[in-house]
Amino acid sequence: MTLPKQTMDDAVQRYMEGKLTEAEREHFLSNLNAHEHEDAHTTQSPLRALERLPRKAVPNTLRLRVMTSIAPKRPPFPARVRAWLEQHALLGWQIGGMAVAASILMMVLTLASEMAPPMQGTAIAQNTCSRVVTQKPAAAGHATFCLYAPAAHNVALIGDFNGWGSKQRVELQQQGDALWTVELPLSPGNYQYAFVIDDKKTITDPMAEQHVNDDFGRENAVISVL
Amino acid sequence: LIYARERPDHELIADCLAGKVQAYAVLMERHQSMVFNVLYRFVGNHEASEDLSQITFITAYEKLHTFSNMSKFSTWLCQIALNKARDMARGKSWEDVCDNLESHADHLIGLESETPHHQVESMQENAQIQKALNRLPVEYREVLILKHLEECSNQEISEILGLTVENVKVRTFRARQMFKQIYARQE
Repeated sequence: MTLPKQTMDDAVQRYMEGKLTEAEREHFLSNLNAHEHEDAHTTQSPLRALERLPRKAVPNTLRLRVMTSIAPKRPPFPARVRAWLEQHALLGWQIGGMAVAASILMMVLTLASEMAPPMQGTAIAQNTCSRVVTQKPAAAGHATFCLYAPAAHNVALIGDFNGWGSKQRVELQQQGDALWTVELPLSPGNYQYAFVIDDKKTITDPMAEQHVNDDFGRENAVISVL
Repeated sequence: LIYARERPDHELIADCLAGKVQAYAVLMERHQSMVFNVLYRFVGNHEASEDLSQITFITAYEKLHTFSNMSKFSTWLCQIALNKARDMARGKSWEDVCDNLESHADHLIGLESETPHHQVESMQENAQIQKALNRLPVEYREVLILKHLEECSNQEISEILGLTVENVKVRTFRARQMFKQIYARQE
């Protein structure tokens, strides 16, 4: 039985893509004359070889090369104002009381931000060691903390759950070339934390959902364990 | 990162735009194999593919604010990658860009004594296929790579190449015919 043209066109497409079942394939080929049969075969054969080409492994250095060539984007101006207001008490007032004033301020300043030149999108990152990835949101009494730190030799986690390192040392384990992780069992609640790189440099986690200023002028990340 | 790995592309893009640069590492991890392999098969040269992949991801990051969630992020990346590859190829012969396939074939013959016969045959066939691919005009090569290596749909190819779906079908047909002829001549 001869296939209708539309069906035949579809069958040709699917044959070339190797998507016909064995039965469909036999049925399709039985509808071809000897010349068409030969043509279909000689076209399909190199295509199958093309599909068998092995996938090349991505060079290990690619991600590092890119990540050290880009800089964090500057959040939109209203978001920066909001973040600043959330972190600072003004004249002894808590932020809640300042909400109306902040809204007015943001409306006025948004116009100014739109006229400001955009930040340079790409720059060489000066300190690839302090690149923090993110922390897993707390769930079921566990939290996973991660840090992207290709130049680090060791990474420790400090926070109010371990007396900021005085009670117990929590070290992150290296996964691959640059990623450091640790999972901790934590009781429900909010915890402040930071990372210490090579026992020298304390950094916060810019991927954290929240940050608070501590009494020493540092910014701590905050995680909520449910 | 584990958390971020579970998040869809559009949320990670929003994080990048909000200043969380490490969200981009997750996006890269997700899409770098596709980008690198498309470029490798397109130019047939390892170093050039790595350089082009780097340029692609940096350009994508710079232009991230222009990305519209109307298309898939992978489609958009692929568009950028192929544009960069075409830019690089402009003004150069493909022999300048591609690996020296003849010396590669000689290398394979050298391996013959220590490698099982079927593996040598397979490597030689791969080299022949890559060679045929590199001899195709750019517009046919890219459509075959997207269709047969990345298994993109006609709709996705039409978005990447800026063609109608009908044009993709026609171009794919012609690309297959030419690929068959080039490959047959090599044998």
